Amino acid sequence: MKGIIQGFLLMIFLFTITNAGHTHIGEKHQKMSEPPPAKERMQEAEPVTPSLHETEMVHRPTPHVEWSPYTDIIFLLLVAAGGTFLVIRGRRFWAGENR
Amino acid sequence: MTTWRDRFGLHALEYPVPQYSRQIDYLLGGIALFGFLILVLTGFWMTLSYKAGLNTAYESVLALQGFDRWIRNLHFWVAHLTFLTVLLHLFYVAITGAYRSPRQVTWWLGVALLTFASSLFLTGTIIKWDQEGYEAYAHIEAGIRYAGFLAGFLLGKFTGPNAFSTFFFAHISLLPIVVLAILGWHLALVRIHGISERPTSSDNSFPISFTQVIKAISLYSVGLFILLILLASLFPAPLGEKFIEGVEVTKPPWPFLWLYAVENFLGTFALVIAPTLVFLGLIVLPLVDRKGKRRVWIFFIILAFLLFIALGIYAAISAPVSHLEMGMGNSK
Repeated sequence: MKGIIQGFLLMIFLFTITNAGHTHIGEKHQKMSEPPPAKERMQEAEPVTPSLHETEMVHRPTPHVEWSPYTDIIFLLLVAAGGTFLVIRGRRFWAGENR
Repeated sequence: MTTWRDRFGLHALEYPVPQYSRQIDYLLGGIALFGFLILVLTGFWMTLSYKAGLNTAYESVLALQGFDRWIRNLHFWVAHLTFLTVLLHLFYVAITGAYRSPRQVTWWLGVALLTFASSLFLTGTIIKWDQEGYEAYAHIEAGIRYAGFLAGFLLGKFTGPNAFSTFFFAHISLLPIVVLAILGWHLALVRIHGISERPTSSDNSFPISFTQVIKAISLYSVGLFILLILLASLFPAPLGEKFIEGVEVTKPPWPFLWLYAVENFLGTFALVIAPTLVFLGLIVLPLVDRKGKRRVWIFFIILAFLLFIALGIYAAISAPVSHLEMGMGNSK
């Protein structure tokens, strides 16, 4: 119980200090994601209509999409590491019987 | 004397369990449950500022600021870590053969939970409605076209102008309710059949109370929550650009990357056939794996696990491929 309370207090502390940093990141991110001026947007792509199927297909230039495979690879490696850990922990599990 | 613990019915949790049931490999399901609860809470918070709709959803996510944005970051990371925990829970139950009699139904309910968790992940990806979300939607549409005589009915419900609200309500209402209901049954069966015996353990004693298992789950969950707070604060949840119809440039999140790789080899038909085969494989596992021959099934389980990882990494590092051949708009 004491551990949980200490963990909770630590959590609040970490939340406070990390959220201060987050605000900064948030502002930076907002600047980066500000839409370009209307004129540029008009040149880049036509506006998307509410219906997905009522318009003719128009082949537009491929947009630039921020994509990094690292997060995905890290997660898959975590799955692999977790699985290996479980196999090691449950070693000789093939020899036993479950009831 | 009746205590408040009795009045709340908490004494029902004080039943004896084996010593090993508070070790990490037996707590994965409980930690996933904690993750699900955080997802419900953060999800509820997000509905306060989210504006569902084809023309408003993306803008409302983009406009999130301060605490609201942080909650979305948290929701994103909790979703990923919960799915990871669910997969490891499934893997451990599978390799130890804990799905065998009398726990077949517990396993099948777990498979149903995995299916609905995947659906939640998928619909969650869609409703942020950026390029990735739009492409996830387009893949569902492509998959439905293989549904034969059902396709006409399904296309009316899951594609077109009304599709967005279908996915939104599925994500925030139908799927969480179904998950909660199945989860209740799943947990009740864990209580009824008892915690599965560790195969290598010869200790048949039940020296600790289940409340100690709950304490262990809580401790791990608090630790995980601290990690999640750090992740949410340091790494904002990504949001792609506003989608452009008919363009296919993104890859799915890691839980679906294996499917992306299979799609590279077999085309969009794999979207239907591969998940169905995996689902059927998981369903029949307790029926085919009975006494003896455990090693054969362990071999297949580990092979499937390695394939999931290998195909995922292959898909992550390979060049993006257009599977739908820009054909989404030709479906009129």
